[in-house]
Amino acid sequence: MTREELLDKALHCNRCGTCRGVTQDVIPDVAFALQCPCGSTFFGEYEPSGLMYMARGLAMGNLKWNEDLAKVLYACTMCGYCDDFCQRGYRHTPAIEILEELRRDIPQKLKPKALQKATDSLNIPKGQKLTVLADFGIIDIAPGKKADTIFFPDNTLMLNAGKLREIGYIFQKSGKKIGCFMSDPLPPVNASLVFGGCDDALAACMAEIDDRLEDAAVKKVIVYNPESLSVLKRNSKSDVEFISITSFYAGLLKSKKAKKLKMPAVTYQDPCHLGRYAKDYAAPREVIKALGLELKDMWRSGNNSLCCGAGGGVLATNPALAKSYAEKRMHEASATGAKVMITACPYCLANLSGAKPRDFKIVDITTLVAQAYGFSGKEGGK
Amino acid sequence: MKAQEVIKGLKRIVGADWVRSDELSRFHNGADVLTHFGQGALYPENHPVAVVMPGSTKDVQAVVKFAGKNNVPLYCVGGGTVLLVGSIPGKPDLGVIFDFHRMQKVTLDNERLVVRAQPGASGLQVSQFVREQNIGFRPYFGGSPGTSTFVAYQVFTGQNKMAGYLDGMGINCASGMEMVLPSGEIIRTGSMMNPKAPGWPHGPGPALTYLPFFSNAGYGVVTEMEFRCFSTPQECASLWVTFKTLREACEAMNGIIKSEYACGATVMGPGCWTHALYSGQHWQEGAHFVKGTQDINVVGMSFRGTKRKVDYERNACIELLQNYGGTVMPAWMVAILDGHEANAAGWQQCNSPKICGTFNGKSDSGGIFVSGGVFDQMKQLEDYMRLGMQEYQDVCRKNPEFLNHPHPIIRLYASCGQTYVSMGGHANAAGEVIFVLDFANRKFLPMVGEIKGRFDKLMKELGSAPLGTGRDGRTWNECKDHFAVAKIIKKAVDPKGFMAPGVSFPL
Repeated sequence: MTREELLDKALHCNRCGTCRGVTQDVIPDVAFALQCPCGSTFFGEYEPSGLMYMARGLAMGNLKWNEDLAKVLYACTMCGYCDDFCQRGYRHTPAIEILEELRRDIPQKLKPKALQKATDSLNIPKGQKLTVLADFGIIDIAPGKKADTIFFPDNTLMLNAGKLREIGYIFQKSGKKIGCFMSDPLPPVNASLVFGGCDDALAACMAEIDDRLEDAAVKKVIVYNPESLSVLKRNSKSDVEFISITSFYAGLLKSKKAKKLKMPAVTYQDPCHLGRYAKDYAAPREVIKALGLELKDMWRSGNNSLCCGAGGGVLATNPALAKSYAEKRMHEASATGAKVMITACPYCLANLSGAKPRDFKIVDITTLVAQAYGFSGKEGGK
Repeated sequence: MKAQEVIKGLKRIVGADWVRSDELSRFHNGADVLTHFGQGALYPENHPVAVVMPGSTKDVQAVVKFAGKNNVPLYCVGGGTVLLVGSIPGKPDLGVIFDFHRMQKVTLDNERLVVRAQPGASGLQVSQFVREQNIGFRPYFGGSPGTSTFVAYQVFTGQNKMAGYLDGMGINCASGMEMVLPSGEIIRTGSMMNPKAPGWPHGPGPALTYLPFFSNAGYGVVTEMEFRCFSTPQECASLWVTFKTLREACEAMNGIIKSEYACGATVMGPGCWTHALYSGQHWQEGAHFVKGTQDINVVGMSFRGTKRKVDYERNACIELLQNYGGTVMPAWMVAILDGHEANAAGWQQCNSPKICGTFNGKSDSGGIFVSGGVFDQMKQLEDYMRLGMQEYQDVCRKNPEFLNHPHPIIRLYASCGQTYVSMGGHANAAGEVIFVLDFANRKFLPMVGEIKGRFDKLMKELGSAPLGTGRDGRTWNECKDHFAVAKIIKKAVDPKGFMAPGVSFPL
C-alpha cells in the first residue's frame, strides 16, 4: 500500500466516535456500553480514531515510527469491531486493512519480541499428536492420497491429544469420511502472521496449502481454530470451501441427534475471528440450542461482541494486558447470571480462563458436543 | 513556564498515566477533519503541549488552578469525538487539552426524570441507557451517535449537527451544570443547585445553565451536567413546507413562532445540506432538517403529544404556512426524509460522512471543501449566497473538466440560529452560511483551492466573521451587543484569558 493509499483510507475516519460505543436498542448498564478493549482501557489515541490518526500522521509524514506509536499499535487486539461497525453505515473506514498495513510497515526492531518471531508459529511442533485422529478412522492424507473433506488443525491443537480425541470421536460419530494431513501437516497458519506483519511468509504458506489441497482434490476444509479459518478464507486462492468446526457441529447436530446436556444456563463468547471475520454468529448458537442449553447472551454479543482480549497478538506480547481485557469481559459474563461460558476459540478459552471468577467455568464448544455424543474420555486408545 | 515543567506539574495532579505528551497524542489532539485540505482545511493543525485526562471534578479544579497560576492555556474536548471547529488550540504547540475519557459516569434519577452525565460520556451511551425506561431527551443538535454528550467545550456548540439517532440531546435538554471557573471555584446551576432540585433549567439554582454554551470553554470547564428527560409521547408527526424564496420561508417561520404551535420549527435555505435527523420519538425542540434539498427553501417542524393535539396543530400549521405561500411536501418525500429516523446506528442514510470528506469508494466522493462565515444581516447572507455561487460558476467555466466531473455538487446552507448572550461567537450566532462543495477526485484540489480563495475574499468584502478555530481575525461586528456582553463576562471570569484562547475569544 502506498502512503497516498494509506492516507486516503485513513481519512475515512472523521472521529465520529460511534465505534466507541455499542449500538443497540438498550444498554441496561452503562458499564457495558463501550467497545474496543484498548480504547476503553487507555482512551484517546488508543481508540480506533487514534489508530486511524496514527495512520494518517504516518502517511502524511507528520509522525515517525517510535516506541510510543508501537505501544499503541500493539495494545489493539484487532478484534475488528470498529471496522465492522463502520461498514454497517454509509461510511467505511477500512480499519482492519489499515491496521494490518501498519503492522507490516512498522520497523522490525519496534515489534514486540513475540511478534518478531511470528513465523515460529508455522513450525510443526515436535511430537505432534495428530495420529491420535487415526484411532477414530480419520485418514492420513499422505502424498498421492485424496479426500473430499479434510480437517485443518492449528499448532495449539497438534499437541493436545485430549482435544484431538474429542474431535476424532465427533468425526467418527458423524460417519463422514474425513482426512487430515497427519504425518506431514499443512503449514498451521493463523493470525499471528497477520499480527506480525509477515506477509511473505503468509503468502508462501498459502501457496503451499493451496497446492497441496489441489493435489489431494480437497473440496471442503473443516478448520478448528477461528484465527486459522479467517486467514485461510481471506488468503486462499483455491476454490476450496473453508468452514469452522463449529459450523460442522451445527450441521451434524441437525442430522444426528445427540443427548441433551444438563447444565445451568450458559453464556457464549463470540470469537472475533469466527464472528466478525468469518461472519459466523449463528452456528455456535445453533449448537448450544441443539445441546438443550439455555443461552443467556451478554449485551455485547454477535456483531457487537467484545473481544476477550487475546487477539492482535496481545496474549503473546502482553499477557497482563490481555488478562485485564478479559476481566472486563468476565464482568459482563457474570452479569448475565450464567456460571458457564462457552467459546469456540482456543485463545478465548485460554485468556478468559485466566481471568474468570472462581465459581465460573469456561468450556470449549467441542468438549460439550463430544459429551453430548457420549464421549467419556477413554475412547481412542492411549 | 516550560513545557516539561507543565507536564511535570500536571502529572503531580492527575498521575503520570493520565498526562500524554507523546507525538501521537499531540497529533491526535491537534488535528481534526477540518485541518486536512480536502476535508475542509478551515484552519491549520495546532498541536497542544500535552493532553490531560482528569478523573474527577477535583482533578479539573486542581488543573485549572495550576494553569491559571502559571498562565497555561487550557482547551477542552469532552469525550474527544466529532472534533470540528474549535477543538484544537489557537496556536501551534500551545496549551493543554482536557480530555474527559475518564469521566464517563452516567446516572439516571427516575424521580426527577433527570440524567446526570460527566463530560466524557457520549450521547449514544446516555441514549441507550435511558431508552429502556421509555423516556428520552428532547433533541436539539443531535450530533452523531458518538458525540460526547456535553463536552465542556464543544458540547452543545452543535459542531456536528450531522447525523443523529433515535434520541437526541442538546442545549434545550440541559437543566443544570457543574462548572469549574477559571478561578478554580466550582459553581452549580439550575437543577444541580441541590440534589432534590427539580429538573428546571432556570431554577431553583442560578439560571446560568446556558452561560458556557458556545463559549467553547472560554468561561470555564463543565464537569457534570443534568439533562431533563421526557416520557415518550403518544404521537409524533412532522411537517415540511417549501417556499419559492428564502425570504418567504423566513416570514412563514416567524408566523409559526408567533403561533406557538409545533416544536423546533426551522428554516433552511436553498441547497441546504442536512442537519438530518432529530428524534421523532422524543421530539420537543428539534425538527427534521432536510437532506438533499438542493433547490428549495423549506420550513420543517415537528409535533408531539396526544393524537388529537398533533393532528390539530399540524393542520393549523399547514393552513398558516399555505397562507404564506408554502407548499406542503408530499408524503412520499417526507417518508424519505423520515428515513433518517430509523437510523439508530447513525450514519446509514445520512450524507454527513461525505461532508467530512470521506474518500469513499462507494460514493466516489473526492472530499469536500467548506467555506463560510457568520453574518448578522439577511442581506449579507443573501449577497454571499448569490455572489459565492457566481464565483463558483466562474471557476467552473474556466475549468470545464471540473464542471463536468461526476459530482459537481455545491450546497449552500444557511441557518438563522439563536443568539445567546454567552455564545462567544459560535457559527450559529446570527446567520451562518457555508458553501460545501463535493468533489469527486483529488485532482480538482487546485480548482477547489481557487474557489476557497475567492470565497474568503468575498467574506472579507461583505464583512462576515470567519468560522473556525483561532478566529483572531474575526470582525466582531455581528451581534455587537451580545458580543460586548460576552466579552464583559469573559473579562470578569477569566481576566488572564487562559481559558481556550483563540477559540471563541481572541488569543
